[in-house]
Amino acid sequence: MGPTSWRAPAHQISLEWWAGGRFASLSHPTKMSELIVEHLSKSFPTRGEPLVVLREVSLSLAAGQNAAILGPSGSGKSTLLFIIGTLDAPSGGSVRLNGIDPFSLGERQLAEFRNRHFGFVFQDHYLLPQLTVLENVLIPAMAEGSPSPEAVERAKYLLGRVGLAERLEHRPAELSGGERQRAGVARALLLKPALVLADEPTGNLDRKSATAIGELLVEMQREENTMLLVVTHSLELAQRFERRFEIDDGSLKVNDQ
Amino acid sequence: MTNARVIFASLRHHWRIHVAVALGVAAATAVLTGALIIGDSVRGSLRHLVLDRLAGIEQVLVLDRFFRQELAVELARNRPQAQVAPAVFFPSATVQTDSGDGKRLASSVMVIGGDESFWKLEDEKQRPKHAPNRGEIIVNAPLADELQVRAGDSLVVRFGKAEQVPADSPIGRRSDRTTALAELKVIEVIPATGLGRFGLQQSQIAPKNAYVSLADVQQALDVDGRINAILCGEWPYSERARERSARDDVAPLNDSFQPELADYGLTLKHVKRTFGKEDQAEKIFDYYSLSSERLLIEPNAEGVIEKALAGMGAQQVLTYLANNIAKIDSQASGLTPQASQSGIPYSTITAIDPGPEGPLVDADGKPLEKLADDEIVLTNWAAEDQNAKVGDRIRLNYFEPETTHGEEREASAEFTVKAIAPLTEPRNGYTRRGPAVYDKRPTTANDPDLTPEVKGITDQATIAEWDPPFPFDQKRIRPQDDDYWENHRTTPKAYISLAAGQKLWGSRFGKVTSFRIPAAEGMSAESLEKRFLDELKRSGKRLGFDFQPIWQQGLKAASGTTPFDVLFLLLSMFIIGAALMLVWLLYRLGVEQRADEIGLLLALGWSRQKVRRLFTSEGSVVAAIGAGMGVIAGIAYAWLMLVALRTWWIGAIATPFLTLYVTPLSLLIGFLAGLIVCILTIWFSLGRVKRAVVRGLLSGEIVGTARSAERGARSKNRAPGLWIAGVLFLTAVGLAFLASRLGGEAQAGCLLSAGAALLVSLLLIVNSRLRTAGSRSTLLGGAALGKLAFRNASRNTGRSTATIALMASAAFLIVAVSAFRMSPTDQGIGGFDLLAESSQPIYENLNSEAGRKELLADKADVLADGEVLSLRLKAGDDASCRNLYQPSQPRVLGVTPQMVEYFDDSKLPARFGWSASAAKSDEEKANPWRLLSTANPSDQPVPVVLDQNTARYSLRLYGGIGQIFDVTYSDGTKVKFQVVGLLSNSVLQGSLLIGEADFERVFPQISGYRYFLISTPAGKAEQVASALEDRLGDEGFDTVDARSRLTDLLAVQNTYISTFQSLGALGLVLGTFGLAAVQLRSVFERRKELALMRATGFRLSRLGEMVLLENLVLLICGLALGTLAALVAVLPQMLLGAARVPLTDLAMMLGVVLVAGIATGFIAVRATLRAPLVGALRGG
Repeated sequence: MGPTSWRAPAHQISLEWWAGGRFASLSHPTKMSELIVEHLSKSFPTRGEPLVVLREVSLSLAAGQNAAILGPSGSGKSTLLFIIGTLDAPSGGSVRLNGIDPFSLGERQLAEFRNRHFGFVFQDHYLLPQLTVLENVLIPAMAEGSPSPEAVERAKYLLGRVGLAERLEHRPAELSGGERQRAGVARALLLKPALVLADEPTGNLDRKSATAIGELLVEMQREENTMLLVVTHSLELAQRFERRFEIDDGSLKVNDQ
Repeated sequence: MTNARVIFASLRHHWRIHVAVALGVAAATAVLTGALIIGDSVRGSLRHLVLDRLAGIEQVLVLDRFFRQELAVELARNRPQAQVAPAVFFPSATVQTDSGDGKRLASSVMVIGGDESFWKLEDEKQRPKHAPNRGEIIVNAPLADELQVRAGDSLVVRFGKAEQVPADSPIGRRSDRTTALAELKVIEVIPATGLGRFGLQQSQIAPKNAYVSLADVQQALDVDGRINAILCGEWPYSERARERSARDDVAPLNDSFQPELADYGLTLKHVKRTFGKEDQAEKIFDYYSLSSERLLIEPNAEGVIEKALAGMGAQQVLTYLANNIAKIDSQASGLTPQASQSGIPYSTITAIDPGPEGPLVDADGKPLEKLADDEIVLTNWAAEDQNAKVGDRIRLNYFEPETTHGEEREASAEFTVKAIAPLTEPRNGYTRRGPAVYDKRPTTANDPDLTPEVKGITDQATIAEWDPPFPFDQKRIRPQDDDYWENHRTTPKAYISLAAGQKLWGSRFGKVTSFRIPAAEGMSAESLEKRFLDELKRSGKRLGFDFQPIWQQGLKAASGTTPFDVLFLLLSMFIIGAALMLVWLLYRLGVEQRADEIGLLLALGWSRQKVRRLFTSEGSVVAAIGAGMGVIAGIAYAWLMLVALRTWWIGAIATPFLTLYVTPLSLLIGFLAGLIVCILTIWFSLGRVKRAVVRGLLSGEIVGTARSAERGARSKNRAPGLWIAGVLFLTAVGLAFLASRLGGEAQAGCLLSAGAALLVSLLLIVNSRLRTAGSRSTLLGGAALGKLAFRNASRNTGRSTATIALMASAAFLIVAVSAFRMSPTDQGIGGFDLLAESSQPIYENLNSEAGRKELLADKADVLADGEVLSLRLKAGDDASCRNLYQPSQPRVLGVTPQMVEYFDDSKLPARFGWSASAAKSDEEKANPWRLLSTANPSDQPVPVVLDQNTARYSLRLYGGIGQIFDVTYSDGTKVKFQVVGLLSNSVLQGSLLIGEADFERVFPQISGYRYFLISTPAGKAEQVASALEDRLGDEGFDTVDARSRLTDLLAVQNTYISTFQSLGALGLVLGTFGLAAVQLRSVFERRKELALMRATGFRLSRLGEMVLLENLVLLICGLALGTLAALVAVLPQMLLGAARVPLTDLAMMLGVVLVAGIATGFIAVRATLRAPLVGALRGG
C-alpha cells in the first residue's frame, strides 16, 4: 500500500462517519495497526564529537498492544517517543506505522498523518487555558476545520469515560492536576489514533492521581483497541503494561520483567 | 567578570531583540529631535528672511509726510560709519503694464524711490547692475511674474499725491489724488532676495516691489529735495553682521540729526504791518505766525508748541471757511429775504481770543473783551453788506470739519453781533506782484495772514480762479466779493471766540490753524524755532522722527507666532507614543524571553534591584545607541517634514520658504530626551520582574506572586459592567443631541465628546464580550479557526482590550479631528461675496447711487442691488494664521456706523459668527458690532473686535473678552486696545476692528476707506469684481472672492489637521509593530500550547493562520471601533456639508494601517512557524 492509501479526502472521511456507525469515521484505517521501529538513531552535532542520544533502536508494537519505556533521565526515552510521534526527526533508521514511513511525507501530509494516527499525552497537560475542557478535547478535530457534531459527541463520550462528564464547560484552571491529565487522555483519544504516545503522563501527579491515570490509560487503550507507548521512569506505572523496554545510554533493551 | 562584561555578552547574545529595541528608541528620538529641528528651521528660516530682506538695513525712519533730504546728508555726516540712504516709500502703489497686449495691473506694490545709496545697503553680489536712473524702473520677481514683464518692457506707476491737507477735511482734496510715473523702462528684474524682497511689514510672503529713481518720484510728487524715509545701516555690511545682535537702541541715531521746523511741516512767518513812511512808520501789528502745511496743526505738535511758547502771549488762531454769513431777520425769526438770497458767500472766519496785537477791536479801535461763545464780531465790510449792527443775529453756514465718504455736510451756527471791527479799504488791492497799499491807516483786522495758505485758493488772484476741493457755487460770487478778494484777500470777515470756533471746527486733524506770537525785542524766527526744537528735546517727543530698529524688530518677530517645535511634538505624539510603546513591548518581550536567566540570577542570590539595574543598564546602552541613531534620523525626519510643509502642507505656511536649520542644542536635547524617556520606559518595562516568582522565572515564565495574582483576580471580578457602557451610550446620544443645538467649535467639541463616550462604551462592551468568551462552547459550528482566534484573544483580556483601545483611540482621534476641519461658511464671510482693498483711499460712498455713479460711471448699475461696506484701514502686519511672524503692529480696520447699522437688520440672510462678546444689552447681544459704535475718551482703551484665531495664535491674547493690550505703531502712536468681541473663524482674521470714531481719534491722519465688504446681487460677483477693478484700477482696487479668502485662512487649521492625521497614521503604522510585539509575546507565552496543537496534527500554516487571525481580530476590532465612534463625531459635518471630510484620505490612511498591521502580523506568524516543537513540549 502506497503512502496515499491510508489517506482519505475529507468528504470520504465524512461519508465513512455516516456509514460506519457512531464513531467509525474517527477510527484509524481498517488495516491492522503495527508500529515498526528499526535501527533508529539520533545524534546532535556539537563542537566535538556528535552527541549520540539513540543508538540503533528497534522495536515493534502490534495493534492493541501497550508498552512502557523505562529509563533514567537523559537516557533518550523521550527523544525516542518524540521521533516515533514524528515530532522530531531521526538521524538514521526508520519508523513505520501501518506500513507508512511518516518521515517520507511532506509537512502537510505529515501533520495530517499525525492528526489521524497519533494521540499524545504529555507530562504537562498543555490544555489551553482560554478554552473549556470540551473545547480542549476537540482541538485535534479542529486541525483541518471545525469539529463535526460527531466529534463533539465523541469528545463528550470520552470525557464521560475519563470521569469528567460534569466538567465539560469548565476551564482548565478549575480542574485538579489529575483531572487535567484525564482531559489530556481524552484529547489524545478523540480521533481514535492508531498509537497513543505518553511522555511521563504521571510525572506531575501525586501517587494517587498517578495510579488513577495509569489505570485509565491502559483501560482506555484497551477499550479503544489502540497501541499505547508510554515513556516513564516510574516502575510502578510501567508494571501495568504488557511490554516494557528499558533504554540506557541510547540503547533499547527488552525488559519484560 | 564584571557587570559590564555581563552586559556586553548579553548585548551580543540577544542582539536581535536589542536591534529591534534600538530601532524603537531611534524612532522616538527621531521624532523628538525632528520636532525640535522643525522649530529651529521655522525660526531659522524666518530669521534668514529678515536678514535677507533687510540686507544691510538696521534702522528706518518712515514718516507720513515729506521732510528735507538734507537730513539724510546730515545724518551721514554725523555717522561716518553708517550707510545712510534717503528714500521715498509708497507701500501701496499700483503698477500697470504699458504695453499694447492688454492692460495688466498689480496693486499693493511697494514703490521705493531711491538712489545709489539705497543699493549700497545691499550685498555687492546681489545688487542690480545699476540703480534706476530717471525713466527707469527695477521690479522684483513676484511683481514681474504678476505683470508678466521683463527687462525692456514699460510700466506705469501710480501712487498718491503728496497732499498734506487731510482728504477727510472739507478743504482736503478727494479727487485727482493720484499721480503717475509713465513709460518707465524695466531695466532689470531682480529676484525676491535681499533688497529684492525688502518690506516694512513682517511676512514670509515675498512682497511686490518696484524701484524707481528718487528724482523721478520727487518730481512727480512735486517734492523736490524732500523724502519720507531714511534707511540706515552700519558699514561695512559683512563685518558688522556678527556683532549687531544687541543693537536695538536707536537713541544715538535719533540724536545724530536734528530736523528743522520745516521738517515737521511747520512754517514760521514774520507778519508785520506798518503804516506811514519807513522812518516814521506806525506799527499796526507785528507778530510771528506759526502754521502747518496741513492747514491744521496736529494735536501732538500743538502741545509742544504751546509749551514752547508759554509766557510769550501767543494766541491760538483757528480760521475756517463759512459758506455763508447772513443776518437773521429778528421779526420773522429767519434770514432776511435779502440775506437768504445773497448772504456773504465763502468767507473766512477766525476764532481767536483778544490779544495785544488784535485783531479784535471795536469801531474805535479799542481792544475788545473776550467774546462769549455766541458772540461774533463782524468787520464793517460784512456788517455793511448785511446791514447788520451790534445786537443783530448772524447765522454762519459752514461745512462740518470732517467728511464721511467725502460728502461735505453743511451745518450752521447763530451768533449775536458784539461789535463791528473796522476794516480799512486799501488804495490799491492785492496783485500778483505785491500786497495791498493803504493810504489810510489799516487796522489790526486788516490781516489776511490770519488765514493759512490753501493751495488753489489763497494763492489765486481772483475768486474765479479758485480751484476749491469743496462744492463751490461760482454763481453766488457777487461783484463786491470779487472786490473784497482783490482788496483783502483772505482777511477774515468775522471773528468768534476761540472756544466757539474750536467747538464748531475743531477736528481730529487739529483745532488750531496757527499760533500768533507777538514780536518782541530780540525775537527772530530762528529763536522761536530753537524754542520749539528745545521743547521737543526736553519733552522727548519726536513727532514721528523716530528711527525704528527694524532689524531687531524683525528678529523679534522671527520668533514666530506658532511654536513649530511644540506643534510638531504634539502633531507627532502618536509616533512618539507608538515608538515608546514599541520600546516598552520589545524590551519586555526580550526580558520575558530571558525569564530563566533572571530566575537564575535571583536564585543565585542577586537582589531584584540589582537584576533590574543590570537589565536597565543593558537597555540604557541600547537606548544610547538607538538615541544616537535617532538624532541622525531626526534630521532626516525634519527634512522630510519640511519637504511636506513646502509641498503637501503648504497651506500651513502660505509660501514655501522653509529650509533646514540644525542647531547642536536641539540635537543634544533630542538625544537626551530620547535617551531619558526610553531608559524610563525600559525601567518600567522591568516592573514585572519585581513581583515575579523565582520558580516561575526558572521555568521561563514571569509569574506574579500569589498576592499579585490575587490582586489580578480581584480586578477581573471588578469587571466594568455593561450598564456602564449603557450609561455612556446614553451620554453619547445626549451629547449628540446637544451638539445639534450648538455651532462651530462648540458643536465639534460636543460631537467629539459624544464620539469618545461611544468609543468607551463600545470598548467596555468588547471587554465584557472578551471576558465572557468561552463561558459556553462556541467553537462548534463553522469558522472554528476564527472563533479560536477570538478565544485566544480573550485569553488575556486586559492586554487585548488595551491593544484594541490603543488602536481604536488612535483611529478615533485621526478620524474624529476631521470634525474640526473647517469649510467657509456664510457666517465666516458674514454673508459677503467679495472683499476688496484699494491701494489709494476711496472717499466716495459706494453704497450711494451718487457715489457709484461717480466712481463706476456706466457700470454703476452692476451694484444696484448690492451692498458695499467701506472700512478705514491702518496698514500694518497681517495678524492672521498665514503670517508666521509675530505681528508687532497689526493692521487695523475702522468699522463705520453704517456697518454697525447694517448688522442691525435681523432679516439678514447671514452675519458674522461670534464666539464671545462683551454685549450686555439686548441690542448689543443681537448685534455685537454695536460695541464699536460709540466713541471712547482718549484715556480709555479702544474697544476692539478680533477673530479668535488672531487673538489666540497671532497676538497670543488668551484672556478673552476684557483683555487689554498695547500696540505701538511706527509713528510712535501707542494704542491701548480692549477686546470686546471675538469673531469665530471669520474672513476678517488678521485685523483689529475698532469703531470708526476711535479709529479717527487714534489714527487722525488716515483719510478715506481702503477696505470693503461687498455683497453682490445674486450671481453677479464676477461682474461686480470686474467693474470695480476696471473703474477703480488707478486706485489699485483689488477684489477677492470672500469664500476663497476664508478657505485660504482656514487652510492653515485644516492643514494642521491633515498633518496630525498623516503623522497619526504614521504613528499607528508604527503601533502595528507594537501589536506584532504583543502577538510575539503571546506566541512566546503559548509556545507549549502551539506545540501541542502541532502535535495533534495542526499544520504550521493553519497555526499561522490562527495567529494572524488573532492579530487581525485585535487590529480590525480596534480600527473599526475607533472609526465607528469617530464617524459619530464627523457625521453631521458630512451630512451638512459644513466641512469636507476627506473620507478617501482617511480610508487610505486606515487601509495603510491595516496592511501594515497584517504585514507586521507575519512577524508573529513567522515566530510561530519557527517555534521549536520538541523543545517547547519538553518545557523549554
